[in-house]
Amino acid sequence: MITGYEIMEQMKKGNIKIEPFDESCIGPNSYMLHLADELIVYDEDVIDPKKEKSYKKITIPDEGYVLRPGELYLAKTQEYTETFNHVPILNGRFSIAALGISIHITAGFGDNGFCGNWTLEIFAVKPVRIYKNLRICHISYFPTIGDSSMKYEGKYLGQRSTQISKIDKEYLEGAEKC
Amino acid sequence: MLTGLQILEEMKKGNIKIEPFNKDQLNPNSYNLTIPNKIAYYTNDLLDVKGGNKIEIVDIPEDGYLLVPNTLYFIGINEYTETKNFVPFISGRSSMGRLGISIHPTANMGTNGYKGYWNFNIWVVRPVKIYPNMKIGQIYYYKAIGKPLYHNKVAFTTDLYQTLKNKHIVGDNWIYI
Repeated sequence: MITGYEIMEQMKKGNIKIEPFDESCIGPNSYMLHLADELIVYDEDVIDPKKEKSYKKITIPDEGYVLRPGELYLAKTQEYTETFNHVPILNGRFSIAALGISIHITAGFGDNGFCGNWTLEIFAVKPVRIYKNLRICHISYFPTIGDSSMKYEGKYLGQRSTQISKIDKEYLEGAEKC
Repeated sequence: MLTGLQILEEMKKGNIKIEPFNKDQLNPNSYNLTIPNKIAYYTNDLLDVKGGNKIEIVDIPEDGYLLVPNTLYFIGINEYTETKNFVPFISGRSSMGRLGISIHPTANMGTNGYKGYWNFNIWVVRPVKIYPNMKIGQIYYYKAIGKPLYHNKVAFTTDLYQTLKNKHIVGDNWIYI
């Protein structure tokens, strides 16, 4: 994993882009990402991966929004990132985790070549109020080992808004990309 | 972390084995893993770390199986893997995370030298269906640094699988606990 200074070095080399970038958010081996004001919840009793899913958007007001246990909230980072020759990985912050907020259900890492705002998969252990602009998670980077010419070309490339799962597309189109 | 193309290289060198292997499941820095058509879940209301926990094994039909919150499921994967000189990790796929499907409560690290079938411990945030052969997780690799220390118990999961199979607890599409 690269250090905070190395993250800034790799930004100069064009391997890492974080926009907007604020040097005060650099940590010893990560960069702190902020929560945007957009949440998505599925509007389905049962989620079926093979079918299109209905959902609703929620805008986090200035006074904050209460997350409830048992609900899945998709959110996005304010930051747009690009990563080459490294594997970006998201982790929760201790201060947020200590409130029972988890920011990703499974895949904490991205692919070499992923460009976009990150979609967070948020759930809460207890009811908890969150606010927009919250410093919600860290992004860290592992250098890739080996030929890194195979770049991410998946369904979420270039995403700027919160994106629900597009797994149904694999069944519709037979696509194989993650 | 190894790139997808380096995973292929290490397979040629014999450091990594994934069977069956399908190049379509290779990602820029991971390989997608698929699930069989059987799943197990705990039937106890209260689990006991000392043991005695009961499981029920059920089929995942072609039209899907409904996973519900507050239940812990086990599922084997279709792929047999071996890893030498690297540390294998598993993770859910982003498309699964976005559906609220977690494939491990915490332990997603394997061991250098591990031979066998991975077991996913699945829980869900909201009710959600799964299907046989779904590409639900991915395996990725970190380089091991230093002289390798291998366990003697590396074939543990396959041995256990064999025991369950001999007792007719599992079929060809297996589950282990």
